[in-house]
Amino acid sequence: MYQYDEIDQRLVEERVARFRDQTRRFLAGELSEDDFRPFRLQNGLYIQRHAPMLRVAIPYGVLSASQLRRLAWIARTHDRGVGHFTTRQNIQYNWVKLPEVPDILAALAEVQMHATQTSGNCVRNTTTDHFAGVAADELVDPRVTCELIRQWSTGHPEFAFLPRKFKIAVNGAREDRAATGVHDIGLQAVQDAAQGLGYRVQVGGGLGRTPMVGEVVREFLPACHLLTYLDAILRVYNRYGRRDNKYKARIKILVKAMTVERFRREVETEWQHWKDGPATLVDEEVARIEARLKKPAYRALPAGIPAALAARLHHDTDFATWFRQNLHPHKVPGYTNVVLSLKSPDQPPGDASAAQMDAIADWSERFGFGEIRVSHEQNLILPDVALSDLPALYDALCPWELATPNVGLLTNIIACPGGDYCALANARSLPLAKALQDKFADAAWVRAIGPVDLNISGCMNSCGHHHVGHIGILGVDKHGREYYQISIGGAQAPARLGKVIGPSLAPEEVPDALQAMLEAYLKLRLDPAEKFVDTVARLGITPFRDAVYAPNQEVACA
Amino acid sequence: MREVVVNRHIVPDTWVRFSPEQSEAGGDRLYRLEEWQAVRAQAGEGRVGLWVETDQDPEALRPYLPEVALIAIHIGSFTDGRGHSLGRLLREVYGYRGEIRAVGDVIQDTVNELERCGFNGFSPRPGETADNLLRGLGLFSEAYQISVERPEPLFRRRLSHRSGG
Repeated sequence: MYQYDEIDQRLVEERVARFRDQTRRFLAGELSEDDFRPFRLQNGLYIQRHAPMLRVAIPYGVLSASQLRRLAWIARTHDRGVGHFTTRQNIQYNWVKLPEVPDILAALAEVQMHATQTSGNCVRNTTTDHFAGVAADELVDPRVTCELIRQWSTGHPEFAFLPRKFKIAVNGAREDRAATGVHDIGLQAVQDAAQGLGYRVQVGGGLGRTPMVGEVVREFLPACHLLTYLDAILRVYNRYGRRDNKYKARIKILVKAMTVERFRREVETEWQHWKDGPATLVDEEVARIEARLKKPAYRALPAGIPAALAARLHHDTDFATWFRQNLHPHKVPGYTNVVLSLKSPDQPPGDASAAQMDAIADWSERFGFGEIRVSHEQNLILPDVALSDLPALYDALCPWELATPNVGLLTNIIACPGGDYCALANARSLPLAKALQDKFADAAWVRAIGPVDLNISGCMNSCGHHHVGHIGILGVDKHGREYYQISIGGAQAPARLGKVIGPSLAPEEVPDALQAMLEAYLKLRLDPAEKFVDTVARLGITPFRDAVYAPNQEVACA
Repeated sequence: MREVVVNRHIVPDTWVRFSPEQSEAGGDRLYRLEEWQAVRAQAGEGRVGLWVETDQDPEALRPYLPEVALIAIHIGSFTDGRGHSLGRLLREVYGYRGEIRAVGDVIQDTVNELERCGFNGFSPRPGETADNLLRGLGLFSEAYQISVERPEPLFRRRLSHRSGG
């Protein structure tokens, strides 16, 4: 994580003071409900079904042990002992009390955290690869870029009231783990032989009601121009984005209406006024931020599998399964990244209890360098674990239900909080996720199916990213009853949107429908190396649709 | 007389909207752009201000900027952020030095950001007071971004501070 200096600290404290005053005036009746609304949203506070919900920013998904302990403390003190990690690498508390929120924000500020701009029509928390800085396939560490954007966007005076929310994602690795194609702005770091570091800039991606993959507005933006170019994009959007219809207000609609060519011209024209001006980045600032990102003191470890680990892998098949499924390669020899699945069969996806958070904070210090990552797949990650420590870590995780070996598999379900909490939802997500966990309890069968991203959203706002799930499920309201629309063939990178297979289904029909599609896949796939989503890409949705809607007919084998 | 905030002081509002019936009278007059274009040649004494909406193209104002003492940007709803961009463009691209006043849905909670975008006049909406607007200004001791109030970003100040400059 980036360590604040005294100015960063002062700014976050001044922000708390401002919101404390606004909350006081609201409670005293001096600030009306309507007037208070945009300001509470800009400080992460929604009014939901049961209680206000507070969304706390976890900038680019990086937490220190002490920050995670503070999140646990907030869950225990101000909520019901649980926090929900979101698809945007944030955490949400579903049971906070409005008068306590300024105190919660003050408690966050003490550990250099905030809830700034986690909602509202402004630039939201920037997201990135959850393996930033530790991934073996990384070209550029995106955290410096993310912190530059965090500072630039925090309290940006000009863009406090955009037509609609605005999400930026940054990726620095070969594999796009930040889903840059489906963000308002997606930045892919590029290392150019002649011009050095830069970004490919994509604009106008997004999910929601009108899902779209972003268009490339600039193939190469030299890194020093990052902030002035972002200003130019946002200014064009702020001035020309639609404000008459909130469903047509995202930048993707503007880019489509203008055409990307004209949008690009507008941005470039606007940019000329500010390009090479004082906001042009200087190397010293990049170095300053780099120095404030805590760098682990890695030991020189042998690259191979240590003998004790090899022995455990040999005689403990559960451990071996977890080892194969929940680790991600590390750039430093002898180390690995461990994904702690928040998708055990009995856990709402992305939920962690206060006790689990405290335990994870302890392990991050015992087995790593006191750092934890949040993935947009709603899992937590311990980066920087020495291979030799894996048996001890695994033994520690098991009693806490944090070693479910399902990362990347069907039961690693992404789900929004849905109708149980969210006032926007058309249908609940969590009971369906639970029904699917129960249906697919046979872990060996789930492993035989192989990689499947299963994403559930309770409404069109698509917080569960259903459009980019290999299997996406969208909750809809049909005459006051919950129904679920199934799409298949989506992917987050390169971003591809799934196709709806047919009429929506009643909740009790969904598990069987998924089973039918997956059994069809087992018959249709060329070989076990062909993933479900690749079979869909090869054959189209028809055989899967037939498997669901004509269940008595045999699926024709290829 | 109504009170407004100008340059962080509470002052009486001397500006009156132009109407063709009272075109003889002197004093500070606020014109819509097309009104000003129509009467400009025979305008009398008194200061001239332009009343514009948040979607105003600043390029259209360019010929008149040297002669107007005030540009009142009418903010219909405070969640309309277009005025913020217009303010910055007028100051930073068009170099306008006169007063830029926020009129319309202007409350204590929005003036801080408007001021940073180049607004130096604020007319409270009905029910809001100039005293409250003053309280809403200058809430932050620093800012990361460049804007009208701070033409250099924080990182350049950090740099010069560190190098002792």
